[in-house]
Amino acid sequence: MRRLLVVTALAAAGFAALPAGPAAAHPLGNFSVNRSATLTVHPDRIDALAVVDLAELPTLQDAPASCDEAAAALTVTAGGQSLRWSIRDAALTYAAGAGGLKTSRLECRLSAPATVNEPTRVDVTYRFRDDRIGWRELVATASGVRLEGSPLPSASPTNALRSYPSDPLTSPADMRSATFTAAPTTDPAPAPGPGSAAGAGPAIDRPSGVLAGFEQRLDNLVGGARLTPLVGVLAVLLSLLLGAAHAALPGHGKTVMAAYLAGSHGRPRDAVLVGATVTFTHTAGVIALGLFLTAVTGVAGESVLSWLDLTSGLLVAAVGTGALISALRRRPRTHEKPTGEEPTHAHDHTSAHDHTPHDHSDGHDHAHGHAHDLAHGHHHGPGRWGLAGLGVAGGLVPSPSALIVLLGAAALGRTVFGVLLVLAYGLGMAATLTAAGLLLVRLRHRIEGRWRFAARWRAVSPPATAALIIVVGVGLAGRALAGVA
Amino acid sequence: MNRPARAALTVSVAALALFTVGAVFGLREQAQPGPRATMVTRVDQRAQTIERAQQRLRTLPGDYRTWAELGLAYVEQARVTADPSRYPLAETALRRSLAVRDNPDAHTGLGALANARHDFGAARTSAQRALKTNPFDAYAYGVLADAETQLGHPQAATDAVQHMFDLRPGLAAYARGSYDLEQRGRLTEADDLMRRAVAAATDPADRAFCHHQLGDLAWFRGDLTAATAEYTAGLAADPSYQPLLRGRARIAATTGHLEAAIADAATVAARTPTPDTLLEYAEYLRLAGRSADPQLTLAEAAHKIFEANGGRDDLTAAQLALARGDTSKAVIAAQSEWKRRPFAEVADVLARSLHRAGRDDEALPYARKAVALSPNNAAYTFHQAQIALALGDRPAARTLLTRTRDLNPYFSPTDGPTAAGALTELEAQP
Repeated sequence: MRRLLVVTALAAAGFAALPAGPAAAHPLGNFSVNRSATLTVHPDRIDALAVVDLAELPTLQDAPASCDEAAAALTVTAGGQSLRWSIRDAALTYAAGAGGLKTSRLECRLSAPATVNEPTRVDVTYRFRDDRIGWRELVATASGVRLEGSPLPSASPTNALRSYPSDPLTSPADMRSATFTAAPTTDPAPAPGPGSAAGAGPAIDRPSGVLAGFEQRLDNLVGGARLTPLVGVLAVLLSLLLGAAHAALPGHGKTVMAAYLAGSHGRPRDAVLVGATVTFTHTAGVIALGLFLTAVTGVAGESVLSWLDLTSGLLVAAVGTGALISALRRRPRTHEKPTGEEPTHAHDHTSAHDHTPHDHSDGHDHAHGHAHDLAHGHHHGPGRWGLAGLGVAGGLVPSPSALIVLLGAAALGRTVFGVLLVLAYGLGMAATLTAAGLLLVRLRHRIEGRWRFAARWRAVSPPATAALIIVVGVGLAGRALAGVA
Repeated sequence: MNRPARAALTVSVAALALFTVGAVFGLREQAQPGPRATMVTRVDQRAQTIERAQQRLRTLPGDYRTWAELGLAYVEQARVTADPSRYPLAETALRRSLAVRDNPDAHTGLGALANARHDFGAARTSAQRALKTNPFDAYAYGVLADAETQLGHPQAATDAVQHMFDLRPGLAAYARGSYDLEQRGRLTEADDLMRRAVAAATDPADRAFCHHQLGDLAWFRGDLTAATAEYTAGLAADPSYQPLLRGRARIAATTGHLEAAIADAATVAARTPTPDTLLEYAEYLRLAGRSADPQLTLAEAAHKIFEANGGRDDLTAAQLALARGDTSKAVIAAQSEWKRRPFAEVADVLARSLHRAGRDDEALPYARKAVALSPNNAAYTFHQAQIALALGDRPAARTLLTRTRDLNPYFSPTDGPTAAGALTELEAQP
């Protein structure tokens, strides 16, 4: 956070230290011819202010601009009738420009009678020295009437060609003609201004749903010009929330995990293990993919996601197959003891449902873990490695919004912050998954305690669960395959 | 069958069945279509790039890559539309990119901007800086090639163009390769390369650019029919591309259609009153026996503003002084430019200035240099012939004039007939 603040401060200093350009030069280049026309629609007439700002060379090159020329170039029709301008006021001034040359500025106040006692279509075209390079702006306001569907601003963005925006985010204006409707105000109160034109604008493409709204907000927070500590904390919280919400949506390996925990003999520890694995895999996966996409241009993130989907599905299927094999092998022995309160078997190192206090330590367990799981399969679920596999499958496919947040942050030079957000995202996901897992474990205990068929279910559940895991895994892989192909 | 084998068989059959079921159901479900990049038919590629970048930067003002992209797009737009008001916008965007983070793209953009403003030394520095960080930036090699060419380092320019070809053979590389070959007098190869460029171009402005280069190449070897065809094709692609009108005016002037030449030159000079367009316009007006003083005054004013804004262009100063007949001023300006960049055109202008000042002894080495640097330029050969004549070396003058005629008898509407007349005279008296 501190580093970010320092970077921001340095950036601000960089702007301030920029050398200013030569003050005298015309901001739009020394051969620009710049025009502005402002229409004011009254109930009985249309007034116009036509301004021309000529840079040094056109001032020297051509005949001085005149209001006759400007009035001839400004064609306005109201209700199909062409207006005939009368010149009320004209002013031509010169100002010192670059290289000891002059720039010139012409201001013409024009007026023409026009009746607006019903909605009237107004067409305006301004073609003063149309072949020349330069700024072209049109402005429309109303007094005593209102304008409908006007694409024009109601105030000059350049203060009538006195100050041009130097912001590269504003392209030089190139407005040569426009059409709008002037209508008499039904409201007796005078209502000057742009009228209802603004309200008719196109609707902003809003993301649908609360979640999408939050995602948009997170992007905005990360992309914001300033990143205060408060904003930073807010962004992290929002990431946690988004991660949690994302995990609550159907898809990925979550269904599988839920099925496993519900169907076999999962314990609270298993739920936590899966949650931790999901967080780790998701964070690592998003960062790896982010690095990959940044380093290798020309790779569509979309296709990478499809491949990851496929891998995730296959992994789930593999875990399911492993569980099915071990369950089938174990079946002949377990069905004799349907209550499951069997004594600890000599080889049961992984202890999926071990209740005895003299259990093997974790280190010991780890040393034997995988091989024993598959070779002997003396437990009911996919085992700890299988659980880890499910967690990996659940976290392997990065959520696109987390990826976007990371890439956005990296593009802004806020990579560390982005990683933090992604970590928070993964933690949020893990929280939901763990909570769901714990809930299911609880629920299962309740059910087992009440109903008799639960005992029967327990007998068949390991292979059934494993089969379900395979179905879901293969289904996920198949869907991803359709995306890859 | 023993138990493990039966179990394995069961598992295999079950897995296979499940796999089939899963695959069938999985494939029936359509993968959700992601946000695919759609290819839009591009009308004005640059304007769209600019608009997209602006939109993105309004929400992500710290995105230095997009700032650099925006700056570069402004430079390109200024080149195509000949509207210099985009240069300050480009510079602001590129500086802002650098303020966020020092990055090679922004340095490349500043290099392109410096080239556009004829500050070739700064352009080279910027391009080299960009390449230091990212040695695979084809565009930076393009900027470097342009700068090295103008600075009079043909070998460095050729190397840069070769790098550009290796990294990204495309329109920009073809165009620069073609120009490079043209500079080295390999006109046929230059023409071939440009034809490949025009085939690769999709944007109207790019097509116009390519046709203009092809037209110039044709004119350079004296093929007026082919040149006219190329200029016409270019104007059909983009009628607003000014250099095409200049090319067309030049052909009209050399073939005696002076009024058409003056009309085209007037259009160009009115829209972009730069010293070179105004000097051309003035030349045609003089040829028609009219006064060109207002155009020269305007050209001088344009040059004055350029220098008032911190630019330095003594080549133009020398050309203006030559057009005014102020030979001593022309010599001083040309010498100063030659010190900074020993480029063929500078050598030619210096030789002409010295010749007009009556210092033909000094002029000859520069005329030779110009011809050596650009052996297929008929104008340079003619200028050397003029100097040889003034020095009384008639055999050399005859050889040079013959070569001029062989290269391009239409090299100049003013000097072309003079060259032809002088050669006839030399051939008449052995």
